[in-house]
Amino acid sequence: MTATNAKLLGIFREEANERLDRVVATLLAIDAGESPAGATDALFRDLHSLKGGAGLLGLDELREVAHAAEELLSDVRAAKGPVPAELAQPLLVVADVMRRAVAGEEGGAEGALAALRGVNVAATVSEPPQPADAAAGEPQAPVARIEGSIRVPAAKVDRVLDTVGGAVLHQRTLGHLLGAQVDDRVGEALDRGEVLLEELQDATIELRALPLAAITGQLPRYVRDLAVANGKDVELALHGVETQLDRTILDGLSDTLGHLLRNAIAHGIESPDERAAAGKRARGRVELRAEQRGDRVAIEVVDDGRGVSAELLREAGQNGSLVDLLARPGFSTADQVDGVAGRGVGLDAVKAHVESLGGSLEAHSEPGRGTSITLLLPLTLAVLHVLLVERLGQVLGLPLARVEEVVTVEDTTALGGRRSIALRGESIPLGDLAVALGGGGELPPHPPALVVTHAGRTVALACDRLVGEESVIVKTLGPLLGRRPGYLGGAILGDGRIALIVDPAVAVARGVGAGGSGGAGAEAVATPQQAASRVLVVDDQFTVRELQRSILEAAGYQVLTANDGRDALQQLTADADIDLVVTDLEMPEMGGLELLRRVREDASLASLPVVVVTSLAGEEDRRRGLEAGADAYVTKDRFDQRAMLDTVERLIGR
Amino acid sequence: MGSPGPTAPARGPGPSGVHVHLSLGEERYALPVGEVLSIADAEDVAPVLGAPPSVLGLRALDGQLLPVFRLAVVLGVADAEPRRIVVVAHGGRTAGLAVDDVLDVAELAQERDESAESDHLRGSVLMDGTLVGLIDLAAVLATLETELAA
Repeated sequence: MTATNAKLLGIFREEANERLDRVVATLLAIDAGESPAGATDALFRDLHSLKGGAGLLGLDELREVAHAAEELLSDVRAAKGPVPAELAQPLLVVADVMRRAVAGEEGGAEGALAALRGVNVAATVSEPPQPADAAAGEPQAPVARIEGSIRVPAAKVDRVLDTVGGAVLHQRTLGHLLGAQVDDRVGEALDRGEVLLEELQDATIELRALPLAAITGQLPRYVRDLAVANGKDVELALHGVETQLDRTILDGLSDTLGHLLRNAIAHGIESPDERAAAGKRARGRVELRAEQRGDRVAIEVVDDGRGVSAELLREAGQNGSLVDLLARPGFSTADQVDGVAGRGVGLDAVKAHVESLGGSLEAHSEPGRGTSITLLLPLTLAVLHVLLVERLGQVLGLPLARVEEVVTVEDTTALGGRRSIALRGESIPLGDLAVALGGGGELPPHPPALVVTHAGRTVALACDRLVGEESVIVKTLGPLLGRRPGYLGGAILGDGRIALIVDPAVAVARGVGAGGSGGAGAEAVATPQQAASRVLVVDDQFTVRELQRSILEAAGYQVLTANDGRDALQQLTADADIDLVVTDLEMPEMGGLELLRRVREDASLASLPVVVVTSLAGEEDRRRGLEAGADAYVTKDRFDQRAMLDTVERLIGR
Repeated sequence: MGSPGPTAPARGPGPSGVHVHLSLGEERYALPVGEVLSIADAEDVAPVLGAPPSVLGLRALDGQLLPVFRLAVVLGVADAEPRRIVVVAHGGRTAGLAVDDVLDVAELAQERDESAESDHLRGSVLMDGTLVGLIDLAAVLATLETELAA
């Protein structure tokens, strides 16, 4: 094929796909029982054009199929009725075949022609002509045509962007070389040059942007097919699809969106019966919403289905976030894996893809109400504003948008071998940027630390010193180094140095390391005397139970929990191996004092160590507890966790 | 597999037989010139935290980032101090191999063919009384790829 023909074919393909998108959209509407004005004419025109273009380029199979469909539409036009709903299905099959033919796959013509042969137009066009369709001078369905635009191969735009990037770099180098020894006019000219180039760069980056609509054309059809395959009734609503995204990001997004839609329909939306029983509309609703938020684009897939189970939400609450749970490799919320959703409905592939682009994933769910998954993507991969720091002689950059703030580490506290800093009343784990990347070493005293959040988790990452802020073009590390976890890429700074851009997700996940990481000496925590002593935590409040559980488990104890005194007694009599009880006082059913009395009365439990937890102001509680036979009391104040651990260790040892 | 006569051309690829001769410590190696893009100085190589010892770091080259590896580490020999980088390309991958010195770009005039002793050499030749290892670039890059993917 000659170069001209190849180019023509490319253009034809793009146009053909646009036409097919329109055709399918119209057919879906007809299939749903609607009667869009001018549908017959619009369909005829598109099919006619497809036939013509196919003929010109020698795509015989496509031409044949388009011709047959065009003839059918011609008959419909002649019968002067609207396109009958029964025709939608066979025509959708034909549209599928045509799309494949456009893409170069052959062999589907037979099936398409067979589908059309079975249709008798005269018999199906039975309704009298609708006024809307038959009236002369009726407005024609608009043919989407953007005036004044040109098609430019993406590679050309990339080349312009590279060259502009080089010019920006050159400008900076020039600035550095001239240094401070320039007079005002030269300095001003240099600044002006930089501003002009940055504008040029922004404008060029925008050339690479396309609206999300460029890839959402086939989604309504896809959703319809998925719904049918799963025996569900689902509608898809698209919002904000004119939102622009960098072409490179858009490229890989189709699969991801498909995956999320599959999840929503196969596992989120319930069957019509289930929905009716739950008081919902029989038709489920899936929404795809896109909007720009600052320097990110948020793409949300929301369904009004069954949401995740309360059990799962609880588990998620304990272990980080819902996203972390759903993105565990191999995770599945379905009891069985089925062909539609594939092996597991986990989000691990989605999360990996989004993070490889420098974005992040969020998930929210309400049992019984629905689930929403949000992709947060950078506006552009090309230029990134980074915060530059130095660690162990290496210049590292973190995307500025992902750094919440920068603090100087003054005082730290340690628990379970991990250090944390206090920031406005919150305790934040302190890690080391070097550890996040697989290295390690001494930190200077009072180092600067970057506070970074990812997937609901916040850590402070220490480094040697701050270097500054810069807008850089992120370059790939290449096929060899590019797969190292932890780095999004590298950048050449204005002064010629190379900075490595750190992946915030990896930094947060690995920066804190196993217990006892970073900094000069982690304090040892009181370890249990025997291997895995078992502690029963009794409290009617979920959060308090879980907080105490995490503290005790971090210190190496095995923890059981009970909601109140009665529950606790049942467990104590059933399980002889509990070494210590930590109990609240005020609980429904049976409070801590009553529990104590029963324990002390029972010969087999009489010498069981019991620790009573009181609130700060509970002097009265303390006295009563001790009188009832408590071995010790600790306060609920969270900064006294050391006291609780010391007490537990002391009592268990006896 | 008998060796051709003493005046036969080198076993290496390429009709020209021109090779880039380099040194690692006391040892000598050679690469066919067709596989070498350019030669640069081993200055301003930024280290990469957490990378294996074979990675010397990253260097800017023509506005792109070039990964630089210590050839000595891949071959399992000792180098003195890498001062030069041989920029190579193979199978869509571009990389810099840091070596002590680049001695010459010349024909591979050898006195006798020797057999290959290592996974990363295609063979060796004797030149002026010194053994010169013929580097198998594909094998070197494959090793690096495997190590880095781990």
